[in-house]
Amino acid sequence: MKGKMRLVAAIICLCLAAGGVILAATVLNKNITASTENYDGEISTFESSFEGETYYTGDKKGTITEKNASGEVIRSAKLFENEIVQKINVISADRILVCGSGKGVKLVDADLNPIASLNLPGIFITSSYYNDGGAEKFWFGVSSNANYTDLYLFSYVLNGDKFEKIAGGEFCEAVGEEGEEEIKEIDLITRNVTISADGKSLFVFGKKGVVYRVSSDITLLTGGVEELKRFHTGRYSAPDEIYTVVYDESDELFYYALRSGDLVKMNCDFECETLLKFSDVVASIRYDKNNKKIYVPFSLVDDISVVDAKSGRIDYTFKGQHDVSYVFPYEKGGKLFVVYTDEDVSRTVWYSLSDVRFYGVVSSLKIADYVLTGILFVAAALLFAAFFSPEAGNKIGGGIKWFARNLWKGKYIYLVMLPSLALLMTFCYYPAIASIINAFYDYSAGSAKVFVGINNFVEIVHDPYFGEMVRNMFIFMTSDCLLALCPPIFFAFCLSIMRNKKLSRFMRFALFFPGILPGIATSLLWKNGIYGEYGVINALLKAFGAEPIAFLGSAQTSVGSLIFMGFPWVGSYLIFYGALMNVPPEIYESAELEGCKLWRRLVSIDLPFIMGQIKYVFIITFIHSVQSLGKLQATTKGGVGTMTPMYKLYMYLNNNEYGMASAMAVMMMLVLSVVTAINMRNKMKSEASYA
Amino acid sequence: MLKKTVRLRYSDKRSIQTTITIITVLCVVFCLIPLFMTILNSAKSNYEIRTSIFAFPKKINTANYVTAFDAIGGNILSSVLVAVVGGFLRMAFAAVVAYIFAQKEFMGKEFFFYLYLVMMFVPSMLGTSVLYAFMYKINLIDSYWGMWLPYIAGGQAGAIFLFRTFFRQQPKSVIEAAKLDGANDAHIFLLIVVPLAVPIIIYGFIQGFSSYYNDYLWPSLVIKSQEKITLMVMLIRKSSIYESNDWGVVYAMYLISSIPLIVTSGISLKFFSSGGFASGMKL
Repeated sequence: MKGKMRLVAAIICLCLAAGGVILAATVLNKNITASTENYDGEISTFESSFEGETYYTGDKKGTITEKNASGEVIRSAKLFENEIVQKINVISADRILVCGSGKGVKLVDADLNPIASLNLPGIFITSSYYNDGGAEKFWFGVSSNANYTDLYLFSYVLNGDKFEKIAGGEFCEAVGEEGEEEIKEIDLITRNVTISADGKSLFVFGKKGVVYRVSSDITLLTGGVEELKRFHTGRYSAPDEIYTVVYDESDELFYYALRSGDLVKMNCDFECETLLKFSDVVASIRYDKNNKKIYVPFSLVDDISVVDAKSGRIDYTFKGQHDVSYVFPYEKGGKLFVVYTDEDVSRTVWYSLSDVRFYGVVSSLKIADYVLTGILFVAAALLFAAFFSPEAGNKIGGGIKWFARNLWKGKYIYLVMLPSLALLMTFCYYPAIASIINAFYDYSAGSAKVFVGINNFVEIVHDPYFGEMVRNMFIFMTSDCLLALCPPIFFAFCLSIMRNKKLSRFMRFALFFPGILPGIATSLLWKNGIYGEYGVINALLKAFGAEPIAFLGSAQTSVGSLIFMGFPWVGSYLIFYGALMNVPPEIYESAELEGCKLWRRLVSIDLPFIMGQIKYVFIITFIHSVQSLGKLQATTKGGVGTMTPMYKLYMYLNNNEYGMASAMAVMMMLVLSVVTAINMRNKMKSEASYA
Repeated sequence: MLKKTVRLRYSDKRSIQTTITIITVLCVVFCLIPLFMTILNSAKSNYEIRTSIFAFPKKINTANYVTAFDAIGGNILSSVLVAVVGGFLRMAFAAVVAYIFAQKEFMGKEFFFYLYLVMMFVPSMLGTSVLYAFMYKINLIDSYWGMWLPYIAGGQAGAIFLFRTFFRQQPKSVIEAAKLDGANDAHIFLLIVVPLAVPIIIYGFIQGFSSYYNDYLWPSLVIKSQEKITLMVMLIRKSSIYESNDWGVVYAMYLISSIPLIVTSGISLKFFSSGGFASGMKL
């Protein structure tokens, strides 16, 4: 290769490799960390300031706070005594409308000093602002009671420092046949009343999926049905409950989410277009009017999706936490605030917007892209090697040819194996690997997934029951294996040397019966019918005048009782019996001739012959013993000194502590592999000695 | 004619024979005690059970059976469906893959085999939570496929293990002959290998059937709707209801839950009265 070409090739390779490394790193770093800021109270609402430089937060104690991009408090004012700050309307740089959860409304200036205040005739639901040729007018939706079962609309104009009522009244609808309508109250409303950009129509979103368009010069509705019909200039029924709505003033478009998960775009003439169908329940969406993006958090899953309003496509989705109630993007500070509310307790975290976007872009890459990157990376490395040393180049070329040729030769084989492999990968490997990764995180339902390194493992070792668990695991492991091998082999042996064939056949027939009871039933039977208060053993003891013993209830006898379950441990004798039948009888004859006694024969002849089966049963029993749950679940549930690692894992899972459960599983796996390795090595050694 | 009194073996000695007869008879008796108790007590009223667990019932209390059947009878079908299809599919997949491993050579054979083997050592609990979330995403919660697919995926390893050893032992000559006659792989598999392996296939099926029939954890997580709940889950739930007052019903429920297993045990008995199959079950 010419020198210059080499250099060019090297550079290309390095670039590819670097790209691969970076992508791999970001791919592995799948978590966006949440940061917290200090707040005195729980945040109930956010709003961006007029220019977007700073932002306001309202908290549940009635205080409004203004903060800048670095999170410093610029100013703060307590506007309400006992009310939650429900909504902040930023009208201009100098006019901010703050509404409380009761009847109080305050208009403040840029310094958060009150300009005007208003006591609403009802409990605040929602507000809208519009500028009617210079006059600052407001619409308020209120309810007469705290259950929000009705809706009253009132409009006010701001005159100096006073709010003057213009019009308003109870919001009703006319129901019934043409000519026979009745006026009815609206049933159950959302907190959404929006005024259209031209100020002429009011849109009221009812929770049952009905949207009303009302003329904005609505007056007190005493005029009867005709007047009502005059004010209701439009009505639309959505196919399902409308959970949340946002409004784009400049485009005069509504975006709302149905309960079924549809995200719909609607214009002022009720023409709707479904943008997206989500499969999860949508929580309250947030509109970013500067970038025209809709932030869609979900109620039950940890995701937040960002949708581009124009195209209606998801830009990206990132993982937050459970129970989102509020999302607020703060561009200037590069933060995305998310308020999580868990059973009435809110906490606010923020994510770096650039992280979110970058991660979003990365995560929107599909698997194919990852694979492609991986291939590129490998190809780059190979090319690199190939260019820099001719022999390596040949080897690599040869290697590739060999690989491709064998791949082609075995194409049918791979094809046939494909479904089975696919199942294995998706349902076994993927959950297992994901779980293993979880072991290094503090991951429980309802809280953030935080990387904690080996903390989980440390916590497990420090668990007060740890010693007991380890001890029990080994006890049960050895006892299970011994009981699965020795008694069945002995029994099979006895059967095989039995002269009375009829009897042996009868026994085999009889032993088919215990197998019909399902495992759970057998465990329960032992627990109640044999070990229990009214069980067999205690009945016998009582007959002899002794005290009844709580076998599964006391720490001394619990482990022993569990081991003793299943007496006389005949188990899978049939396998061994079948294997023994296959031993050619001539061997026995010649052994007899050489004076071999019975016991010796068993050990030196029969055992080696059935060694294969012994190994099989041993491995199967071993694996199942460590993973066994049924016996414990049915009986002691890990109490009174019978705790095992597996049961602890089960308890973690039940508590939704996935991180701990995974850590426990990883530890169990490690132990299993160590023990297996030792065993394999022993077996190899013993095999070698035979040869 | 000379009467041959041949003492065939040392083990035919009287004393030894009597000892093992006694031992084995005792074993069998003890093995049968739980079952005996179940049958006995399922026909007794609660009072009788409490006072004397061994006594025969004064009269057969059929009400127990009726109640028990009402409680969990309907779920038998669901459990059987899950277990049968699961067992069958597991076997089908495993048999094909095991045949490939046993008779074919291809690149990465060791690698793929270890892929399956490793899965056997990983406790299935490990992935339960992730698997559940995954099932939720692809909408398989509360559906039979949500039961079958993980079962197949997880159970393959054991069955492949089992079948591979058996297939390996099948006489290569027959297969060679078939190849000479122009049979392709599908023919060989379906017409030669499978029929020869019927006992072990049935054993594998029964193994799968009983493990899926007995499974409690996964159905309790996945199945939500009443019609689909499997027997075991129902059994645990209902037995805690009846435990305090009416032991007879509880025992009757155990009996009822064992009905499908009677069938499978019967099948296994018929097939395994010889010893031939056991040669396959080794490492």
